[in-house]
Amino acid sequence: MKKLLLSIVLLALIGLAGCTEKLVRVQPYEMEYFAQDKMLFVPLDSRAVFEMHIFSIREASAGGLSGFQGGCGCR
Amino acid sequence: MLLPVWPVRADKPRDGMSYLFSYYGDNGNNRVIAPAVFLSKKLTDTYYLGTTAGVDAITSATKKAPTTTPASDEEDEGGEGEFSFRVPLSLWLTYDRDNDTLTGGGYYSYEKTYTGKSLFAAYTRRLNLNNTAVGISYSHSFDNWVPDRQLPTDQRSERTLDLNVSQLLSPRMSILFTYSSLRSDGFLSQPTDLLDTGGTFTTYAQYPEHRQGSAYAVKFITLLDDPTSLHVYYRYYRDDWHIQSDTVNLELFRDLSSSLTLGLRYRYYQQSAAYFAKDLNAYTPADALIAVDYRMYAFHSNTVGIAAIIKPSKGFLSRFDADKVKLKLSADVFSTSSHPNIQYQYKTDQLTGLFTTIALDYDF
Repeated sequence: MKKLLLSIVLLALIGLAGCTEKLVRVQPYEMEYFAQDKMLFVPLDSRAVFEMHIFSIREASAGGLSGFQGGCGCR
Repeated sequence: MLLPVWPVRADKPRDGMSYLFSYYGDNGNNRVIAPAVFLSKKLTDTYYLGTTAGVDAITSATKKAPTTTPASDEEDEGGEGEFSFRVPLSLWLTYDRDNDTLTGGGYYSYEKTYTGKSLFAAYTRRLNLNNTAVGISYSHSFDNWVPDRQLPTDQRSERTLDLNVSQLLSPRMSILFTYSSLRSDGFLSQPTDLLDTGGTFTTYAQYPEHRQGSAYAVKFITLLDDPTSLHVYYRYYRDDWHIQSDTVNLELFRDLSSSLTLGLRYRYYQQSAAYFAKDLNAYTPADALIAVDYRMYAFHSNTVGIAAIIKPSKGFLSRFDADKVKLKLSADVFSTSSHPNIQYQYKTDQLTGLFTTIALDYDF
Protein backbone atom coordinates (compact mmCIF):
# COMPACT_ATOMS: atom_id res chain seq x y z
CA MET A 1 0.00 0.00 0.00
CA LYS A 2 2.82 2.38 0.91
CA LYS A 3 4.66 1.58 -2.33
CA LEU A 4 1.50 2.20 -4.29
CA LEU A 5 0.97 5.53 -2.53
CA LEU A 6 4.56 6.57 -3.09
CA SER A 7 4.26 5.65 -6.76
CA ILE A 8 1.10 7.72 -7.11
CA VAL A 9 2.75 10.71 -5.42
CA LEU A 10 5.85 10.43 -7.62
CA LEU A 11 3.76 10.08 -10.76
CA ALA A 12 1.68 13.07 -9.72
CA LEU A 13 4.80 15.17 -9.14
CA ILE A 14 6.28 14.11 -12.48
CA GLY A 15 2.94 14.89 -14.10
CA LEU A 16 2.80 18.29 -12.47
CA ALA A 17 6.32 19.06 -13.64
CA GLY A 18 5.67 17.75 -17.14
CA CYS A 19 2.51 19.63 -17.96
CA THR A 20 3.30 22.94 -16.37
CA GLU A 21 1.90 24.99 -19.23
CA LYS A 22 -1.45 23.19 -19.11
CA LEU A 23 -1.70 23.77 -15.36
CA VAL A 24 -1.37 27.53 -15.67
CA ARG A 25 -5.11 27.96 -16.00
CA VAL A 26 -5.35 31.39 -14.40
CA GLN A 27 -3.07 34.31 -15.12
CA PRO A 28 -1.97 36.49 -12.19
CA TYR A 29 -4.22 39.35 -13.35
CA GLU A 30 -7.24 36.98 -13.28
CA MET A 31 -6.87 35.98 -9.63
CA GLU A 32 -8.95 38.68 -7.98
CA TYR A 33 -11.71 36.26 -6.91
CA PHE A 34 -9.25 33.96 -5.13
CA ALA A 35 -8.25 36.78 -2.80
CA GLN A 36 -11.82 37.00 -1.49
CA ASP A 37 -12.79 35.25 1.75
CA LYS A 38 -15.59 33.30 0.12
CA MET A 39 -13.17 31.66 -2.34
CA LEU A 40 -10.61 30.49 0.21
CA PHE A 41 -10.37 26.77 0.92
CA VAL A 42 -10.86 27.60 4.61
CA PRO A 43 -12.84 30.85 4.86
CA LEU A 44 -13.33 30.48 8.62
CA ASP A 45 -10.11 29.04 10.02
CA SER A 46 -11.33 29.47 13.61
CA ARG A 47 -14.37 27.28 12.94
CA ALA A 48 -12.33 24.75 10.95
CA VAL A 49 -9.93 24.18 13.84
CA PHE A 50 -12.65 23.96 16.49
CA GLU A 51 -14.96 21.71 14.50
CA MET A 52 -12.06 19.39 13.72
CA HIS A 53 -11.83 18.97 17.47
CA ILE A 54 -15.60 18.61 17.96
CA PHE A 55 -16.06 16.06 15.20
CA SER A 56 -13.11 14.04 16.49
CA ILE A 57 -14.99 13.82 19.80
CA ARG A 58 -18.30 12.92 18.17
CA GLU A 59 -17.21 10.71 15.25
CA ALA A 60 -14.75 7.86 14.70
CA SER A 61 -13.18 9.34 11.56
CA ALA A 62 -10.42 11.86 11.06
CA GLY A 63 -8.16 13.26 8.37
CA GLY A 64 -9.05 14.80 5.05
CA LEU A 65 -7.96 18.22 6.21
CA SER A 66 -4.53 19.33 7.27
CA GLY A 67 -3.69 20.44 10.74
CA PHE A 68 -4.60 17.71 13.22
CA GLN A 69 -1.79 17.00 15.62
CA GLY A 70 -3.29 14.90 18.39
CA GLY A 71 -2.72 15.88 21.97
CA CYS A 72 -6.14 15.54 23.61
CA GLY A 73 -7.01 11.85 23.51
CA CYS A 74 -10.36 12.73 22.02
CA ARG A 75 -10.31 10.22 19.23
CA MET B 1 -6.79 21.83 21.12
CA LEU B 2 -6.31 24.87 18.94
CA LEU B 3 -3.93 24.31 16.12
CA PRO B 4 -3.03 25.99 12.87
CA VAL B 5 -4.51 24.92 9.55
CA TRP B 6 -1.70 24.67 7.07
CA PRO B 7 -1.65 26.78 3.94
CA VAL B 8 -2.84 24.63 1.07
CA ARG B 9 -2.86 27.03 -1.83
CA ALA B 10 -0.89 30.16 -2.48
CA ASP B 11 -1.66 31.48 0.98
CA LYS B 12 1.18 33.34 2.65
CA PRO B 13 1.72 33.01 6.41
CA ARG B 14 -0.23 35.51 8.44
CA ASP B 15 1.39 38.47 10.12
CA GLY B 16 -1.20 39.21 12.74
CA MET B 17 -3.10 38.00 15.74
CA SER B 18 -6.55 36.65 16.60
CA TYR B 19 -8.66 36.51 19.70
CA LEU B 20 -10.77 33.38 19.68
CA PHE B 21 -13.71 32.21 21.71
CA SER B 22 -15.28 28.81 21.06
CA TYR B 23 -18.18 27.08 22.75
CA TYR B 24 -19.63 23.59 22.52
CA GLY B 25 -22.64 22.22 24.38
CA ASP B 26 -24.93 19.24 23.90
CA ASN B 27 -27.91 17.53 25.47
CA GLY B 28 -25.61 14.93 27.03
CA ASN B 29 -24.44 17.56 29.52
CA ASN B 30 -21.08 18.01 27.81
CA ARG B 31 -19.70 21.51 27.49
CA VAL B 32 -16.46 23.04 26.26
CA ILE B 33 -15.59 26.72 26.62
CA ALA B 34 -12.34 27.59 24.90
CA PRO B 35 -10.91 31.12 24.79
CA ALA B 36 -7.54 31.40 23.03
CA VAL B 37 -5.07 33.79 21.45
CA PHE B 38 -3.33 33.18 18.12
CA LEU B 39 -0.23 35.14 17.15
CA SER B 40 1.87 34.90 14.01
CA LYS B 41 4.60 37.54 13.84
CA LYS B 42 6.84 38.26 10.89
CA LEU B 43 10.38 38.35 12.26
CA THR B 44 12.32 38.94 9.06
CA ASP B 45 11.50 38.86 5.36
CA THR B 46 11.43 35.09 5.48
CA TYR B 47 10.77 33.97 9.06
CA TYR B 48 7.54 33.99 11.06
CA LEU B 49 7.06 32.91 14.66
CA GLY B 50 3.63 31.62 15.62
CA THR B 51 1.88 30.57 18.78
CA THR B 52 -1.56 29.69 20.09
CA ALA B 53 -2.35 29.59 23.77
CA GLY B 54 -5.62 29.12 25.56
CA VAL B 55 -7.66 27.33 28.15
CA ASP B 56 -10.32 24.70 27.46
CA ALA B 57 -12.87 24.43 30.26
CA ILE B 58 -14.66 21.10 29.91
CA THR B 59 -17.58 19.46 31.64
CA SER B 60 -18.46 15.91 30.77
CA ALA B 61 -21.27 13.59 31.76
CA THR B 62 -19.26 10.47 31.01
CA LYS B 63 -19.05 7.94 33.78
CA LYS B 64 -16.17 8.36 36.15
CA ALA B 65 -13.97 5.41 36.95
CA PRO B 66 -15.03 3.73 40.14
CA THR B 67 -12.50 3.80 42.94
CA THR B 68 -12.85 0.06 43.43
CA THR B 69 -12.34 -2.72 40.89
CA PRO B 70 -14.69 -3.04 37.91
CA ALA B 71 -16.33 -6.06 39.56
CA SER B 72 -18.04 -3.63 41.88
CA ASP B 73 -21.48 -2.29 41.07
CA GLU B 74 -20.33 1.12 42.12
CA GLU B 75 -20.74 3.64 39.38
CA ASP B 76 -20.37 7.33 39.54
CA GLU B 77 -22.42 9.45 37.22
CA GLY B 78 -20.43 12.57 37.74
CA GLY B 79 -18.98 15.63 36.22
CA GLU B 80 -22.13 17.62 35.60
CA GLY B 81 -21.43 21.24 36.30
CA GLU B 82 -17.83 20.55 37.35
CA PHE B 83 -15.26 22.00 35.00
CA SER B 84 -11.95 20.38 34.29
CA PHE B 85 -9.33 22.40 32.47
CA ARG B 86 -6.98 21.75 29.60
CA VAL B 87 -4.19 24.20 28.88
CA PRO B 88 -2.95 23.85 25.28
CA LEU B 89 0.06 25.67 23.85
CA SER B 90 1.50 25.54 20.33
CA LEU B 91 4.68 27.15 19.08
CA TRP B 92 6.01 27.06 15.53
CA LEU B 93 8.49 28.71 13.20
CA THR B 94 7.74 29.30 9.53
CA TYR B 95 10.21 29.88 6.73
CA ASP B 96 8.61 31.46 3.69
CA ARG B 97 10.52 32.45 0.59
CA ASP B 98 9.42 32.76 -3.01
CA ASN B 99 7.41 29.62 -3.69
CA ASP B 100 8.29 27.62 -0.61
CA THR B 101 6.83 27.59 2.89
CA LEU B 102 8.26 25.35 5.60
CA THR B 103 6.83 25.18 9.12
CA GLY B 104 7.98 23.22 12.15
CA GLY B 105 6.77 23.32 15.70
CA GLY B 106 5.50 21.65 18.80
CA TYR B 107 2.37 21.33 20.90
CA TYR B 108 1.90 20.73 24.58
CA SER B 109 -1.27 20.40 26.59
CA TYR B 110 -1.89 19.64 30.20
CA GLU B 111 -5.01 18.43 31.93
CA LYS B 112 -5.56 16.43 35.08
CA THR B 113 -5.99 13.09 33.31
CA TYR B 114 -3.99 13.59 30.12
CA THR B 115 -0.75 15.11 28.91
CA GLY B 116 -0.39 15.82 25.20
CA LYS B 117 2.87 16.46 23.39
CA SER B 118 3.44 16.57 19.67
CA LEU B 119 5.87 17.69 17.01
CA PHE B 120 4.75 18.74 13.56
CA ALA B 121 6.17 19.92 10.26
CA ALA B 122 4.64 21.07 7.00
CA TYR B 123 6.01 22.02 3.60
CA THR B 124 4.12 23.75 0.80
CA ARG B 125 5.44 24.48 -2.68
CA ARG B 126 3.64 26.79 -5.04
CA LEU B 127 3.95 26.03 -8.74
CA ASN B 128 2.72 27.21 -12.10
CA LEU B 129 2.33 30.91 -11.31
CA ASN B 130 0.49 30.05 -8.09
CA ASN B 131 -2.04 27.89 -9.95
CA THR B 132 -0.84 24.74 -8.23
CA ALA B 133 0.27 24.03 -4.68
CA VAL B 134 1.66 20.79 -3.31
CA GLY B 135 1.80 20.27 0.43
CA ILE B 136 2.96 17.63 2.85
CA SER B 137 2.53 17.77 6.60
CA TYR B 138 3.41 15.33 9.34
CA SER B 139 2.66 15.30 13.02
CA HIS B 140 3.51 12.85 15.75
CA SER B 141 2.06 13.03 19.24
CA PHE B 142 3.52 11.35 22.32
CA ASP B 143 0.71 11.50 24.85
CA ASN B 144 0.18 10.02 28.28
CA TRP B 145 -2.91 9.17 30.22
CA VAL B 146 -2.87 10.11 33.90
CA PRO B 147 -5.77 7.82 34.90
CA ASP B 148 -7.11 7.00 38.32
CA ARG B 149 -6.90 3.29 37.59
CA GLN B 150 -4.26 0.91 36.23
CA LEU B 151 -4.16 0.76 32.43
CA PRO B 152 -2.34 -1.79 30.24
CA THR B 153 -0.25 1.16 29.08
CA ASP B 154 -0.45 4.85 29.89
CA GLN B 155 0.95 5.81 26.51
CA ARG B 156 -0.93 6.92 23.48
CA SER B 157 0.58 8.21 20.26
CA GLU B 158 -0.86 9.40 17.00
CA ARG B 159 0.87 10.16 13.80
CA THR B 160 -0.73 11.85 10.83
CA LEU B 161 0.65 12.32 7.35
CA ASP B 162 -1.26 14.65 5.03
CA LEU B 163 -0.61 15.11 1.33
CA ASN B 164 -2.35 17.98 -0.44
CA VAL B 165 -2.55 19.12 -4.03
CA SER B 166 -4.58 22.16 -5.00
CA GLN B 167 -5.19 23.51 -8.47
CA LEU B 168 -6.92 26.53 -9.92
CA LEU B 169 -9.20 25.34 -12.71
CA SER B 170 -10.38 28.68 -14.02
CA PRO B 171 -10.64 32.26 -12.68
CA ARG B 172 -13.78 31.07 -10.85
CA MET B 173 -13.00 27.47 -9.83
CA SER B 174 -10.45 25.64 -7.73
CA ILE B 175 -10.02 22.13 -6.36
CA LEU B 176 -8.10 20.55 -3.49
CA PHE B 177 -7.22 16.88 -3.02
CA THR B 178 -6.10 15.55 0.35
CA TYR B 179 -4.84 12.16 1.41
CA SER B 180 -4.34 11.46 5.11
CA SER B 181 -2.66 8.50 6.69
CA LEU B 182 -3.38 8.09 10.40
CA ARG B 183 -1.90 5.69 12.91
CA SER B 184 -2.65 5.45 16.62
CA ASP B 185 -0.92 3.27 19.20
CA GLY B 186 -1.30 2.72 22.92
CA PHE B 187 -4.38 2.82 25.10
CA LEU B 188 -7.00 4.06 22.65
CA SER B 189 -10.32 3.81 24.50
CA GLN B 190 -11.43 6.22 27.19
CA PRO B 191 -10.28 4.94 30.62
CA THR B 192 -13.64 5.98 32.08
CA ASP B 193 -15.85 4.08 29.59
CA LEU B 194 -17.55 1.44 31.70
CA LEU B 195 -19.80 -1.43 30.64
CA ASP B 196 -22.36 -2.47 33.24
CA THR B 197 -24.63 -5.21 31.97
CA GLY B 198 -27.05 -4.81 34.84
CA GLY B 199 -25.51 -7.02 37.47
CA THR B 200 -24.06 -9.78 35.29
CA PHE B 201 -20.64 -8.20 35.12
CA THR B 202 -18.96 -4.83 34.93
CA THR B 203 -15.86 -4.04 32.95
CA TYR B 204 -14.05 -1.25 31.17
CA ALA B 205 -13.98 -0.61 27.46
CA GLN B 206 -10.94 -2.03 25.74
CA TYR B 207 -9.94 -1.40 22.13
CA PRO B 208 -7.07 -2.84 20.10
CA GLU B 209 -3.75 -1.15 20.83
CA HIS B 210 -3.12 -0.17 17.22
CA ARG B 211 -5.25 1.56 14.66
CA GLN B 212 -4.42 2.54 11.13
CA GLY B 213 -6.68 4.56 8.88
CA SER B 214 -6.76 6.53 5.66
CA ALA B 215 -8.86 9.44 4.49
CA TYR B 216 -9.32 10.60 0.91
CA ALA B 217 -10.93 14.00 0.44
CA VAL B 218 -11.74 16.43 -2.32
CA LYS B 219 -12.92 20.01 -2.02
CA PHE B 220 -14.26 21.96 -4.96
CA ILE B 221 -15.01 25.68 -4.94
CA THR B 222 -16.81 27.57 -7.64
CA LEU B 223 -18.13 31.07 -8.02
CA LEU B 224 -21.82 30.83 -8.91
CA ASP B 225 -22.15 34.53 -9.55
CA ASP B 226 -20.10 37.53 -8.46
CA PRO B 227 -21.26 37.61 -4.85
CA THR B 228 -21.87 33.87 -4.32
CA SER B 229 -19.54 30.90 -4.00
CA LEU B 230 -20.30 27.21 -3.50
CA HIS B 231 -18.01 24.86 -1.56
CA VAL B 232 -18.45 21.11 -2.03
CA TYR B 233 -16.48 18.68 0.12
CA TYR B 234 -16.44 14.90 0.22
CA ARG B 235 -14.32 12.59 2.39
CA TYR B 236 -14.07 8.82 2.42
CA TYR B 237 -12.45 7.28 5.49
CA ARG B 238 -11.62 3.70 6.38
CA ASP B 239 -9.48 1.99 8.99
CA ASP B 240 -8.37 -1.45 10.13
CA TRP B 241 -11.07 -1.55 12.81
CA HIS B 242 -13.45 -1.86 9.82
CA ILE B 243 -14.91 1.59 10.34
CA GLN B 244 -15.77 3.27 7.08
CA SER B 245 -17.37 6.66 6.75
CA ASP B 246 -18.63 9.17 4.23
CA THR B 247 -18.72 12.91 4.89
CA VAL B 248 -20.36 15.46 2.63
CA ASN B 249 -20.25 19.18 3.31
CA LEU B 250 -22.02 21.80 1.19
CA GLU B 251 -21.57 25.46 1.89
CA LEU B 252 -22.73 28.67 0.26
CA PHE B 253 -21.04 32.01 0.89
CA ARG B 254 -22.57 35.25 -0.29
CA ASP B 255 -21.32 38.83 -0.07
CA LEU B 256 -24.25 40.88 1.16
CA SER B 257 -22.18 44.05 1.12
CA SER B 258 -18.53 45.06 0.98
CA SER B 259 -18.32 44.53 4.74
CA LEU B 260 -20.49 41.42 5.27
CA THR B 261 -20.22 37.87 3.92
CA LEU B 262 -22.74 35.28 5.06
CA GLY B 263 -22.33 31.52 4.90
CA LEU B 264 -24.79 28.63 5.14
CA ARG B 265 -23.68 25.04 5.48
CA TYR B 266 -25.06 21.51 5.54
CA ARG B 267 -22.96 18.50 6.53
CA TYR B 268 -23.90 14.82 6.46
CA TYR B 269 -21.85 12.10 8.10
CA GLN B 270 -22.40 8.35 8.27
CA GLN B 271 -20.16 5.54 9.48
CA SER B 272 -20.13 1.78 9.90
CA ALA B 273 -19.31 -0.12 13.10
CA ALA B 274 -15.96 -1.38 14.38
CA TYR B 275 -15.51 -5.15 14.08
CA PHE B 276 -15.53 -5.60 17.87
CA ALA B 277 -18.69 -3.55 18.48
CA LYS B 278 -21.59 -5.65 19.79
CA ASP B 279 -24.90 -5.05 21.39
CA LEU B 280 -24.08 -4.10 24.99
CA ASN B 281 -26.02 -7.07 26.36
CA ALA B 282 -24.13 -9.48 24.07
CA TYR B 283 -20.75 -8.98 25.71
CA THR B 284 -19.45 -11.69 28.01
CA PRO B 285 -16.51 -11.69 30.45
CA ALA B 286 -14.58 -13.68 27.82
CA ASP B 287 -14.58 -10.74 25.39
CA ALA B 288 -11.15 -9.14 25.20
CA LEU B 289 -12.33 -6.16 23.15
CA ILE B 290 -15.27 -4.15 24.38
CA ALA B 291 -16.85 -0.99 22.97
CA VAL B 292 -19.18 1.25 24.89
CA ASP B 293 -18.77 4.55 23.06
CA TYR B 294 -21.38 5.00 20.32
CA ARG B 295 -18.60 6.18 18.01
CA MET B 296 -17.58 2.54 17.55
CA TYR B 297 -21.07 1.74 16.17
CA ALA B 298 -22.93 2.58 12.97
CA PHE B 299 -24.74 5.91 13.09
CA HIS B 300 -25.21 9.06 11.05
CA SER B 301 -25.43 12.75 11.84
CA ASN B 302 -26.56 15.99 10.26
CA THR B 303 -25.09 19.44 10.84
CA VAL B 304 -26.45 22.79 9.75
CA GLY B 305 -24.75 26.08 10.35
CA ILE B 306 -24.50 29.76 9.66
CA ALA B 307 -21.39 31.89 9.45
CA ALA B 308 -20.54 35.55 8.98
CA ILE B 309 -17.36 37.39 8.06
CA ILE B 310 -17.53 41.06 8.95
CA LYS B 311 -15.05 43.69 7.85
CA PRO B 312 -15.79 46.89 9.78
CA SER B 313 -16.32 50.04 7.77
CA LYS B 314 -13.55 52.61 7.97
CA GLY B 315 -15.59 55.03 10.07
CA PHE B 316 -16.45 52.36 12.63
CA LEU B 317 -12.90 51.84 13.82
CA SER B 318 -11.23 55.18 13.27
CA ARG B 319 -8.26 54.29 15.47
CA PHE B 320 -7.45 51.18 13.46
CA ASP B 321 -6.85 50.43 9.83
CA ALA B 322 -10.23 48.91 8.99
CA ASP B 323 -8.71 46.83 6.19
CA LYS B 324 -6.74 44.91 8.80
CA VAL B 325 -9.62 43.94 11.08
CA LYS B 326 -12.00 41.04 10.51
CA LEU B 327 -14.64 39.48 12.72
CA LYS B 328 -15.64 35.88 12.01
CA LEU B 329 -18.70 34.33 13.62
CA SER B 330 -20.19 30.87 13.27
CA ALA B 331 -22.92 28.77 14.86
CA ASP B 332 -23.60 25.13 13.97
CA VAL B 333 -26.09 22.60 15.26
CA PHE B 334 -25.54 18.88 14.82
CA SER B 335 -27.74 15.93 15.62
CA THR B 336 -26.88 12.24 15.57
CA SER B 337 -29.22 9.40 14.77
CA SER B 338 -30.60 7.53 17.79
CA HIS B 339 -28.54 4.72 19.20
CA PRO B 340 -28.84 2.48 22.29
CA ASN B 341 -25.28 3.32 23.32
CA ILE B 342 -26.07 7.04 23.31
CA GLN B 343 -28.96 6.25 25.63
CA TYR B 344 -26.61 4.16 27.79
CA GLN B 345 -23.89 6.84 27.93
CA TYR B 346 -25.86 10.06 27.96
CA LYS B 347 -29.43 9.13 28.95
CA THR B 348 -30.85 10.53 25.74
CA ASP B 349 -31.83 8.85 22.47
CA GLN B 350 -29.71 11.02 20.25
CA LEU B 351 -27.09 13.67 20.79
CA THR B 352 -27.87 17.20 19.68
CA GLY B 353 -25.22 19.85 20.12
CA LEU B 354 -24.36 23.44 19.34
CA PHE B 355 -20.91 24.80 18.64
CA THR B 356 -20.07 28.43 18.05
CA THR B 357 -16.89 30.34 17.31
CA ILE B 358 -16.02 34.01 17.49
CA ALA B 359 -12.70 35.20 16.08
CA LEU B 360 -11.40 38.73 15.89
CA ASP B 361 -8.50 38.89 13.43
CA TYR B 362 -6.09 41.78 13.33
CA ASP B 363 -3.27 41.93 10.77
CA PHE B 364 -0.16 43.91 11.62
